[in-house]
Amino acid sequence: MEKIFEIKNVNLYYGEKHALKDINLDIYKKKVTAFIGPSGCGKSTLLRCLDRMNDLIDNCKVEGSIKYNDKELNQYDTLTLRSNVGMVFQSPNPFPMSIFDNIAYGPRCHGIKNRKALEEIVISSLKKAALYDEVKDNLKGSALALSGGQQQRLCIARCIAMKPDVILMDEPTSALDPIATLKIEELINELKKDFTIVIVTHNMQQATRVSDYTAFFMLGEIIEYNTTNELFKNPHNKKTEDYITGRFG
Amino acid sequence: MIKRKIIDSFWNVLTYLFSSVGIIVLLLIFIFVFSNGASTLSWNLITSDYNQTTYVLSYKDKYDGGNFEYKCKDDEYFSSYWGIAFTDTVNTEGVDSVIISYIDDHSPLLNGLLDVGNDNYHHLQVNQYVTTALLVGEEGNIISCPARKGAESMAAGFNRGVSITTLNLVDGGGGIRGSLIATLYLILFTLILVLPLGIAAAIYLSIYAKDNWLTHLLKSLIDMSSGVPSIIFGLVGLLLFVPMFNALVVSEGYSILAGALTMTIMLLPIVISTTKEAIDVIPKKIISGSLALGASQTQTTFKIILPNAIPGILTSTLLAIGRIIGESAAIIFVMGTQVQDHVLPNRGGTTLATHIYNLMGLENPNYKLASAIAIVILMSVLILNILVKLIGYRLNKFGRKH
Ligand SMILES: Nc1ncnc2c1ncn2[C@@H]1O[C@H](COP(=O)(O)OP(=O)(O)OP(=O)(O)O)[C@@H](O)[C@H]1O
Ligand SMILES: [Mg+2]
Repeated sequence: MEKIFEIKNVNLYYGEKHALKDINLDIYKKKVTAFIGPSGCGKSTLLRCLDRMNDLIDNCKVEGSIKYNDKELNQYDTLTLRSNVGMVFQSPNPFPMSIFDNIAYGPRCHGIKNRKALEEIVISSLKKAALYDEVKDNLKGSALALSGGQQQRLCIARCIAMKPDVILMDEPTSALDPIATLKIEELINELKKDFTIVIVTHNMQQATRVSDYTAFFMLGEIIEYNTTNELFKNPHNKKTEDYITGRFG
Repeated sequence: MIKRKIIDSFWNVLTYLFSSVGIIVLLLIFIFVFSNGASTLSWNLITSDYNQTTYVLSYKDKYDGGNFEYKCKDDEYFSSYWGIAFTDTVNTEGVDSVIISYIDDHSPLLNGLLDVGNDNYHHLQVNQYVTTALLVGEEGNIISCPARKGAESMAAGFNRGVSITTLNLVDGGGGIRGSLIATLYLILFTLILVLPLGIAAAIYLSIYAKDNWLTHLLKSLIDMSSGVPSIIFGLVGLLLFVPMFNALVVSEGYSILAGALTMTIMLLPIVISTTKEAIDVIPKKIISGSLALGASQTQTTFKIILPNAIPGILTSTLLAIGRIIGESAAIIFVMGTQVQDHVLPNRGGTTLATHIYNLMGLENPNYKLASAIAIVILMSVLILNILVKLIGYRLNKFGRKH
C-alpha cells in the first residue's frame, strides 16, 4: 500500500505546552483515516500539521519529520502544499460571496482566469460534492443563504475545486443535523475513490462507517493505530477499549 | 417600601431634569443658529466670493428712453425708461440693500455702462448690488438714489433720469465659495493621505503584526492619541509641516497642504481603529479558509479582508470628513484665518469652520453670516452621521457578535 504521509517522531509545542508527543504514523493513499480521542488530545493539531496551518500560529513549534509524497513537508512552499492538501473546517465557513465565486476562489487565486474553465471546475466540483442539483439554478446567489449542511458541502466542493490529493476534515459534521451528517458521510465514501481523506471525529459510529484506518489519541500521544475494523473489534490497548466502549471520555 | 419609592422617584425626576436641561440648551442653540442664519442662507451665498468687487460705472450719453415692459413680482420695482428692475434685499453681510433683479434684453444698461476704472464696457448682471446711483434729469437736475432709500425710490429715480453720472455696483461679496472649496480641498488631500496610511496600518496591526510588547505599545499609543486635543496637532503642524512645505518651496507661510498633513496625523488613529474594528469582526475561520485553499496572505487580504472591511472603511471616511469639517483649532494654526476667494493648495485659506472664526473676530461680528455657515456645517455633519448609521445598518454582514 502506498503511503502519502509519513510522520516520524513528531513533537509539537504551543509555547511551553507539549501538545504532540512522539507521533509516528503513516497515512495511506486513497484511504480514509480517522483520528479519534478525547477532547484536547491533539487531533486537530496533528491535522493542521499536515497542511502546515500551524505555521500561522505564533508560538507553535514542530520537531521531527513529516514527509508528503516522500518529500519533507518543510520543503514545499505552503501555497502549493495547501492546494494539494485541502482542509474542511469544523463549522462551515463559506466566504461572504456567491456560490460560484466561493468555488472559483481557489482556482482564481492560482491564476485561472478563463471564465469557461472556471465554470467547468465549479460545476464538476459541485457535482462531486453532491450539491449541484440543489444549487444549479442559483449559482449567483449568496453562499451564506444556504443551510448548514449545504454550506459544508459547498466547503468540500471548494476544496475539490483545487483538485487536491488529500482532503483534511476536522469534525466536518459536528455542526450538522443527522440527515445532513448522513449526506456528508455518503459523500466521503464516494470521494475516497479519488482522494485521500483524513477525518477527525468524535463520533465512533461515524469512524466505523467512513474510515479504513483509525488512530486513537490521548494526551498528545497515539495510543493505537490500526485498520478501523481491527481497532474497533479487537483493540489491543486497554485505554482504546475503554474509550470506544464509552467507559471513558 | 414607600420611602424607597419616594427616593426612586426623586432620582428619576432629577435625571429627567438634568437631561432635559441638556436637550433644551441644544435646542436653543439650533433655534439661534437657524433664526439668524436661515434668511442669509441662499445658493447665492454658497457660490459667491467673500471679498467684494466694486465697480464705478457711468452712462454719459443722453438716453431717449425706451418703453420697456415687465411684469413685476410683488417686491420688484421696474424702471420702464431703462428696462431694469430692483428689489429690496439683505446682502450677505446682513445689511439692507438693493439688488438688480431683472434687466431687459434691449436695455441700454446691459452692455452700455462704461467702467470708469478701465474704460471698458461693463456687462451688467442680475444679482449685483447697487449701492448708489447718481442720475441727471431732463432739466439737468441731479437725482440721487442711495440704496438705503430702497428699491422703489431707486426705480422712480431711474425713471426720471436721462443719463447716469455714476452707478456704484457691488458684485458678490460675503459669500463662502472660497471657504467651501478650501474645505473640499482639505478633505480631498487629507483623505488621499489618511486612508491608505490608516488602512495599511490597520491591516498590519490586525493581520501581520506579531503579538508582542511593541504591537501592544503601538495599539495603546493609537488609542491614546485619539484623545489628544486638536490644538496640539495644530502646534505640531505649525512647527513642523508649515516650515517643511516652505523649505520645499511649494508654499510661503500657511497652506492647505500643511493643513492636510496635520489633519492626517490627527485622524490617523480614528481611521486605524475603525478599520481595525471592521477587520477584527471578520470571522477567523473565513480567513483561515482562504489560506487553507492555498491563497497567499496578500490575496486573502485583498479578496477577503478588504472587501469585508469596506463598511468600516466607509464609516471611518465619513467620520474623518465630519471631523475635518468641524475642526478649527488645528486649522487656524496651519492655514491661517484669511478668507480666500482664489483657493490654491499651497496657500492658506479658511474652511467653513474657521471662516466663522474669522467672522466673529471682525470689528462688527457678522452673526448672520456665521449662523448661515453654521447651518451648512450642521447639515453636512447631520447627513454624514445619517450615512454612517445607514452603512452600519446595511452592510455589516457579520454583525458585532462574532
Ligand atoms: N493555538 C493554540 N495555542 C496554544 N495551545 C493550543 C492551541 N491549539 C490547541 N492548543 C492546545 O493543544 C492541545 C491539543 O489541542 P487540539 O485542538 O489539537 O485538540 P483536539 O484533539 O482537536 O480537541 P477537540 O476534540 O476538542 O477538538 C489542547 O490542550 C489545546 O489546549
Ligand atoms: Mg479539534
